[in-house]
Amino acid sequence: MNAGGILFILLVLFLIGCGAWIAYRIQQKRREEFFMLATKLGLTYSRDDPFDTVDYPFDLFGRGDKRGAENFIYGVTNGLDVRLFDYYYVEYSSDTQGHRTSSTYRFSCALTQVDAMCPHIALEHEGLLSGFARHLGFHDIEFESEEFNRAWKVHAEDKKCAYALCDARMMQWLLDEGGVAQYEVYGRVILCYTKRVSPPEYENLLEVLRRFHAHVPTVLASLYPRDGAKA
Amino acid sequence: MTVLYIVLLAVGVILIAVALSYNRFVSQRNLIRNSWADVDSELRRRYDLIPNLVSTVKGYAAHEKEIFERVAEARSAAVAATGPVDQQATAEAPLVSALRGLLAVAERYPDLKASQNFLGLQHELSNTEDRLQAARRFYNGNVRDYNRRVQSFPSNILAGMFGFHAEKFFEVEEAARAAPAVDMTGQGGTP
Repeated sequence: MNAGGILFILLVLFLIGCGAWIAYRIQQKRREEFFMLATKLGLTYSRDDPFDTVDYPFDLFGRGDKRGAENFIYGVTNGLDVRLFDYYYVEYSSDTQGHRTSSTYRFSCALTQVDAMCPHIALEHEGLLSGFARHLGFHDIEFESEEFNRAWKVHAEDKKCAYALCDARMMQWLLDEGGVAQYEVYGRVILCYTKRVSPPEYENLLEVLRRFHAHVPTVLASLYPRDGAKA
Repeated sequence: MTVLYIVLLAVGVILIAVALSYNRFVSQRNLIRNSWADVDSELRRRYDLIPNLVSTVKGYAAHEKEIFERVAEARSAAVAATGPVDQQATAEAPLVSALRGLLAVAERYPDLKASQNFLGLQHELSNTEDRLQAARRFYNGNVRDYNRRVQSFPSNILAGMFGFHAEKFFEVEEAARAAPAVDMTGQGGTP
């Protein structure tokens, strides 16, 4: 190998090293910011998931071929027991020549508990495809507000529970403010998630979670009590 | 021969589509009936609460006979109404109005308002109203889905052929919104 070849290999190695170092520093900085936010909110920070959160049967946690969660902030703030964390999943795909590529999707998540035991409900933004499907007559759960139906796609194991959750007050809030995130409810847990945001922006996500929680109708606890016996 | 196969295939596909659509109409109609049973059950729950509520108010305001009679008459009429949905909704209106009157009377008696028994009943009534509204919205949602199919092409052809008619929505006002809403912001436990 001539000197030019060796130099090229060294340059490549140097660039890879630089890339790894920058990635490490970005990760470190994010962790530090999470730690500072946890301190500010009076909560606990953990780099790893102390709760096996991704085992919860939410739709979001079932996507992709590989998934994980990190940078957990958890504890009780303003009377609400919460968890804030980074979540990602990876999708692998192969082309016709067998070349494997991966795509990573990153999210910011917030969890808390609801005073009820609900079957699974997902509230997602109505997309282009689902909107088109609606025009063709394929409807998900439809509510009395056409504006809400156009903006939100709701699917649930138990349609009745979806109607109990999405009352007029909740629908109005979702239309006015709640559109910054998407939501899932399963059992006692509410999941609120959005595309990955910076650690300081987690405070906004926490506020969105708090408001969603505050808008959960009290009738849900009566119809789907926490002891599990459906009333 | 090929034409015959194509015709047979087309007829087969049409028959399968008709059968699927028919079955879906049947299951939607059953869902409406089941969800109406929920509404009915919540209405009965409300009827059952009324005698206790009246008797508690009577204990503090025995001379308000007119409102007690109004509530009793409206309750009897509502209990007796077992006809179509719109007739039942019509029968509920006087009861809602009478109940509001009863709660307005209660407002004038501080001792009654402070009574634990009355507060408990008022809370129970408010909870029943919430449950009734949730059941009503679920019923109306099912009716909306069903009616859309009854009125949309091509399922309207099948609906006409097999006698699936549009169902009526159930609209009933809330009788009581007196109990304070529970603030759930402070109820979070461990996820």
